[in-house]
Amino acid sequence: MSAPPEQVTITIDDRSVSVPKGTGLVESALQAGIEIPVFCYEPRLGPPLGACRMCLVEIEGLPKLQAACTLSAQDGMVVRTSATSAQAADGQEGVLEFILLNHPLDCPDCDKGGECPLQDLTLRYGPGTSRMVVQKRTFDKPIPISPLIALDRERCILCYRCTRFSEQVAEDGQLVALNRGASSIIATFEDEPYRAHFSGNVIDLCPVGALTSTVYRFRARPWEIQNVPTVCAMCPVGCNVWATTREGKVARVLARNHPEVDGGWLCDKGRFAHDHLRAADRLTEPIRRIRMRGLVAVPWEEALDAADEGLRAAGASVCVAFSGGETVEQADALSRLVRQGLGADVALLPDDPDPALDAFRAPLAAIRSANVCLVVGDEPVLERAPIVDLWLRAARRGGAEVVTVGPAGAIAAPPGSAAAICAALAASSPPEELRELARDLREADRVALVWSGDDDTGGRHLAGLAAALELGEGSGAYFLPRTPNGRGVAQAWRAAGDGRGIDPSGDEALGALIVSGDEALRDTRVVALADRARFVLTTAMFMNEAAGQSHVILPGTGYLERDGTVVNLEGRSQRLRRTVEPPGWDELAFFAQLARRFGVDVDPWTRAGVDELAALPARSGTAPVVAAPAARGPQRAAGAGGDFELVRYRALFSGAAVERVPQLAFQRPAAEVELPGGDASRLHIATGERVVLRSGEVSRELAARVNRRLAPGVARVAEEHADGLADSVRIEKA
Amino acid sequence: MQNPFEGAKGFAVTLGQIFRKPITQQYPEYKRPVYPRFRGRHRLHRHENGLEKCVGCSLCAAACPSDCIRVVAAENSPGNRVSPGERYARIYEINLSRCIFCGYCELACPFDAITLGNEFELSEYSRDDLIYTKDMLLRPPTKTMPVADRDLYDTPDPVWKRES
Amino acid sequence: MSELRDEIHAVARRYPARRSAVIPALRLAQERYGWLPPEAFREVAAALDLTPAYCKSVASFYDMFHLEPVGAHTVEICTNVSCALVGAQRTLEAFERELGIRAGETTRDGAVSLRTIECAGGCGWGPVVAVDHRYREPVRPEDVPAIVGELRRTTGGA
Repeated sequence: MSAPPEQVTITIDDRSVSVPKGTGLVESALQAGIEIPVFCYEPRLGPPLGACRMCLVEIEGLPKLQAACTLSAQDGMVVRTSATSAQAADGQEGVLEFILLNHPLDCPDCDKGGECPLQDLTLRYGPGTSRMVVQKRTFDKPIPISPLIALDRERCILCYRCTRFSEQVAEDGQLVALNRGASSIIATFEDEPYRAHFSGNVIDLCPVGALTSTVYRFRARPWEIQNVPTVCAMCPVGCNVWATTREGKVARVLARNHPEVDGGWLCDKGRFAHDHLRAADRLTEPIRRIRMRGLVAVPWEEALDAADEGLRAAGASVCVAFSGGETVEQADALSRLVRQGLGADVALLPDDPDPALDAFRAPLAAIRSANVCLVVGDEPVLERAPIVDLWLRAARRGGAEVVTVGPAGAIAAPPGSAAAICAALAASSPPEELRELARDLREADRVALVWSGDDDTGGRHLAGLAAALELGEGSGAYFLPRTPNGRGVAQAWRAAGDGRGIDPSGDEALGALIVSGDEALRDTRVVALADRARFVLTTAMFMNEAAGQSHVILPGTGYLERDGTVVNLEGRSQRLRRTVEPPGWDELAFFAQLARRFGVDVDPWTRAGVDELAALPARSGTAPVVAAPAARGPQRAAGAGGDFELVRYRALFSGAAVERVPQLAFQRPAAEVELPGGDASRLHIATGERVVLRSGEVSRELAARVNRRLAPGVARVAEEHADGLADSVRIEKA
Repeated sequence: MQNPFEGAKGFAVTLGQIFRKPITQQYPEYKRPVYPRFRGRHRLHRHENGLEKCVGCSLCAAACPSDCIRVVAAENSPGNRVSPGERYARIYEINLSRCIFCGYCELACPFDAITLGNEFELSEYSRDDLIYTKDMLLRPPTKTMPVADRDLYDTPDPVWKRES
Repeated sequence: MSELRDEIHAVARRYPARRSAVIPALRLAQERYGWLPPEAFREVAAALDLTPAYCKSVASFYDMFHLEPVGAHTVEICTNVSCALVGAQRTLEAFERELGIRAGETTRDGAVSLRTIECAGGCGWGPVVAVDHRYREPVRPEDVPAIVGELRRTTGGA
């Protein structure tokens, strides 16, 4: 590795500070305890722009004031900020006066008021009064650039933070600056909404109130809120967030920079889906099925009695279906109830990451500094663990070779072939099309391997490849689970014991089924099991189809209402903090009570889950667990006609929470099918045309979208639009 | 023992007062005029065109030392325009049982939307009734309080009271 | 419209990165449509693997790309210092009088668009007027009726 960078010594405001060569002046000053004010400067957005000129400083030997953010420390530099230089103070005052020429003074109206960098810096560095006598510029306002973001062009100071995020971080290229000079405006294309997975970050980045959240709009002011540091449990990344509450309700969620996990970014699902906690169809009291009366709301004690009775009658013939969103503590309570209290041993685990992966753990941030990144699997990384996609993009910008091998990859591979690809790359003589990649992987200093598919054995294959490549320091293998805490739930289940178990894939009757959470309710396997169960105990936030099969339904909690531990895809245990009170008992309290009735003592309070997890016994390889859908066999030959191999992916913007936030509706996957360019032109199908997908008796009409990255013979559809379709479909024009 | 004449001195003072004109004011019948800058019950004001001056910025709530103001804002729409800005106060409540009538709210208000009037008869039978809602605060006071002659005092009226 | 796509691809091959070809590609699109309607941005974006928003941000920066429909002919008058000193304003006013429109507008029949531009580089022979991208220099107010007549004739025939 390279030698530590040379240290240089500079003087800022008569204080001497020694920093590594190349450190920016703003950071160097910070190290000396001096703040240089900035608007446009944000190191996470790439190289500095120097657009706002707020950071003007005097540098000895240079005739004019310089923008500190664009300079790096040079040995012997003597810098004077506005604290010691009248020239710099005058310059900054002038800059603020210019910025305020057209900025409306509607701070009482503005959502940013009270937490606004422009307000703060004007107070500290700006002129006391304005000399502006003519009318300020006006625009229509607010302009909804998407159902989530309102743009106020009058307030915009053209720092280009938002457009730089769009272009250089998320690389969606949708938010741009139009026109030139004084008439520049921030805009999307025509009237199209800013539809991107990370669009909400521009709200955080905006140093004024130009981009505001429509969800948070006018809900609270900064002095009326409490910010709770917690973790987003909407996907397996586990981004660190601030949950803002006002009057006992979650008003917004903001990114809380964890440089190793999320780098300070947050996807729109994590940012905006919190309103599902207040959905109209939220369950708030237990429900019990009573003969002749149907589903009836009952007191908690009665629900407890009913659950007790139902489970006792089932004996050991009990299966528990996890949804993967539970905290480790909840999963532990439920697992111990089932394994130790009921003597049953069968669970439907949404994820089951292989323990072999633990040897190749690395923080997500390591992806950025990798030389070669390999992504295998059928599911788009962006839909499964969105932040990982940002890290991969950062790696590519940094010069890394990022190769996707799969149905939509740079190296085309049939669906379900990820395991074979790992094996081929690990082998001593890989096939022709992978040879170059295999060589690069072996020669690279730092490698990041990402598995983004639905095959639970993936962890093993990925770990196998990682071992073959002899991954060392700075490299990592990342298996993307399907669910937020799938890894933690699996660990908790394993820790609660191991034993025989029955096979739930048969068709004999089941004594009882415990369905934990809304996501599990949507699993078709769970629905099938519920048909065979004599007693179904469900915890759910919302009533929906499978709740119709339940005998006892307990109101569930959302992640913002839970205290506990979640384990993200890196295997990092993070603490969830209760942000708001749940409407009733939380699952942990209920299952602890229930477990006590079966002679198992479960602590109803969240314990120091991090320590607990560390002390978990190593898992045995024989525990009976129903595997997730098995990997598909080798690809059937793409038919000469309109036969396609169907790849479905679970869209990020799907699920019970997203469906209940109307502002997120536009982010949900469009009813369309992606077709490879070659096949589409052969069938004379263009983007936007209606096509019919048929498999057996089932047919679905969707809009076509031509995706030139897709491998020939593969069609891709979001899971929610592929209901009932088989893996092989026939596609023709409607 | 103390001097026995001490007690008699006290009675003498009492005796002297008996023959003076009493200074007791028969309150409900007679209301002594309040000072011109007296701070009584709050009022919210409207612009001449009927729109509310309050935009729901919550600065009054921030300034309030007894935390008795609650503001919940909402967005004006073309069909429902309440205030001139984008935002208006959907809920504006003052808990007068907690209010200490310090007047910080009117100082904080950027639009002179709230002022403290001269009404001081604010007793109710229930504490709940002391939570004044926006409608109550917007309505002109029903009781008129006598105010002392402005010219007797040389402190000027504060600007926000003159203009609202 | 696949021809435009092919033309853009041909141009893009001359550049190391496709993105670099955005200006020539926009020029091709403008030649085709006369101006740059939203569909033009969509086509250019699709051909170069960019977003329409990015293409529009580039086009809106440059003066020579038209985001609004323009007339069959364009008359562009330089009003920068050198031309202004020798009476560009009077020439502009003459055009406005003769065409009955103001700078930045198009005649109602869609024949002529009139606008002012920044320095065209013909400072020695001001005032510079570019008629359909060909320089006429110098153009005095008295030359204007002839130019307008010529433009009217050609559109009348078309």
